Amino acid sequence: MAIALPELSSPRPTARIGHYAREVFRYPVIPVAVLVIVLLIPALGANWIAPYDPLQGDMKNRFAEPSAQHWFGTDDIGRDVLSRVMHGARVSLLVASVAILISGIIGTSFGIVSAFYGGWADNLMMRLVDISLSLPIIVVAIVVAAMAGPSMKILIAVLVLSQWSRYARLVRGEALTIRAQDYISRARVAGASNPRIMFRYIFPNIVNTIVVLATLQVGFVIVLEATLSFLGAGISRPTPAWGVMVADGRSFVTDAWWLSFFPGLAILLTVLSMNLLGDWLRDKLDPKQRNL
Amino acid sequence: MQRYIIMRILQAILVLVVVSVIAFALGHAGGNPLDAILPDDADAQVRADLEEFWGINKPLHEQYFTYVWNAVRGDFGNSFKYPHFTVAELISDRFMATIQLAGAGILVAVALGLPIGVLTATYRDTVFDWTGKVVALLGQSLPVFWLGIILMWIFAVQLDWFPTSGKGGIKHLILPAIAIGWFQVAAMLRLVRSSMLDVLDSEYVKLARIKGLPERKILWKHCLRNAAIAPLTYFAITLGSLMVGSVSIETVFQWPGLGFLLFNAARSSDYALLQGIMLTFTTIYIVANLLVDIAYAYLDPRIRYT
Repeated sequence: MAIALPELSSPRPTARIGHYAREVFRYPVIPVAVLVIVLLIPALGANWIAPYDPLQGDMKNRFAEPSAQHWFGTDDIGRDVLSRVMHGARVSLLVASVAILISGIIGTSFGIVSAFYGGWADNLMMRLVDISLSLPIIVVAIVVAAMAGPSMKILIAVLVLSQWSRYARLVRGEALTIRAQDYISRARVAGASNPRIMFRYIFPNIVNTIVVLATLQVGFVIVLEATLSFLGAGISRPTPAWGVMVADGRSFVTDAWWLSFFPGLAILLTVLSMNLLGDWLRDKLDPKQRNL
Repeated sequence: MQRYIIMRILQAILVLVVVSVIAFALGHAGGNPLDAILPDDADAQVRADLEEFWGINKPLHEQYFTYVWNAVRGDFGNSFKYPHFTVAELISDRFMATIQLAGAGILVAVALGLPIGVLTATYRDTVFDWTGKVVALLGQSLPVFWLGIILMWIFAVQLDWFPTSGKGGIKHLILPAIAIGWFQVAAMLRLVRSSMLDVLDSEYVKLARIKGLPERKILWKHCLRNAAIAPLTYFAITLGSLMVGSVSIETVFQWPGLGFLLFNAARSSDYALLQGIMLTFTTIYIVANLLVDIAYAYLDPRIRYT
């Protein structure tokens, strides 16, 4: 009897797939799962779960193809690529979170102070922001690293230099609107000091914006860190970092594709998930920042 | 308007001064270069003569002005690594290769981004729109140097359609151009999509529909012409950021341009060359940004400073 029913009740198959896709994308389940598997678990537990030592090579087992023993193969001095990718997650997570934390703090304070005092101070501070936004950061980073020798401190300093101004500019814009609100004038009448107004009354209202921007910037910072490490201006060998591993694999691309492929895939998955998560957070927390 | 342009030019000059101070300071970060060249027991007279010859005995600000004056005239000194060439010769030698690559990257971005952008705007929430979203997302997330290596592995190593690296005919250009244009494809696509959506809503498109023009003609002639203005002006002048972005792609494909030269200079600690390339890149980048801002101030009066 169920001859006509299927045709009536089910719309076009593509529409049904679209429906399920929307259900899954309502919450960023996949991006969070990917982040936990590719970034968080390896970064926190690399010492325990990595099957081999990331620095100790096995010269009898160089350029082994991906197999059951070495899932991602081995590199030119016989080190296990999977273990190195896992330890690389730690470097990426550490560098990105420290850089974003520092630039967030500097940029936010800068933006609030600039908006709060206004006038020539605001003008001067925003010109500083313009200057830092107009530096070609990759070139500056390569030159600085070549002169001072690459190190993690310099890498983080360069990343902060390229990031803080984005927070400063956005926070200033938000803080300007909040400063004009009635409750700020009332707080002033009630005798609140300037720092108290800035950090008790203005700051809490822009936390969402900062969190959204920070999430959206994580991916960018990870790619920038990897690019600088790739160009020899970031993490130095033999520390396993994703960018360095891709760079080292380039010379062997004809014989051993897995050397570059897997660390790059880790970067791609991390950044892709971070961007999806950031988009979702922005829609949830801060819908007016659609153009971020 | 004039006030805005003057302010903007002053600001660009200020950035250039900051960069030149960084470049100058880096040259001095290593201490007195004579310590490295002369033996410890060198004659004091020889030392003084050399200091006089290189101008090291002068006060720092005087040295800086000499440095800037020489740089403005295109004299960046001599390269350590390639002693037979001046830095200026090396830079001008590689300059065209980078321009060529950046130009090809823009071509790729326009050739892919423009049609995909139109399609995603016209057929919203369909397969086209989804494809466009995936392309845009991948454009933001793919590390370009990795994309370059993967392209090289698939099309040069496995399929053997293109050479792996170096510069030569048009075949050498295709893979690096796709890799460098990829990020720009995503940017282009989003710009075209949003301005197409605006145009599709407009009165004159409705008029064209009422006149009974075929949809194809409305879309590609009436809409695209108006929607493409903003993205194209943006693209005509992003050459600056593309050139800076070329550093990693040139390194992957060993393309003999400025970016690869910078990479090699950094590896061999060739400071004079490094400073020269840094000043060249930043100047191009800052001038390009200046032109973008001025062009936009003409096109969109809302962004002028008040």
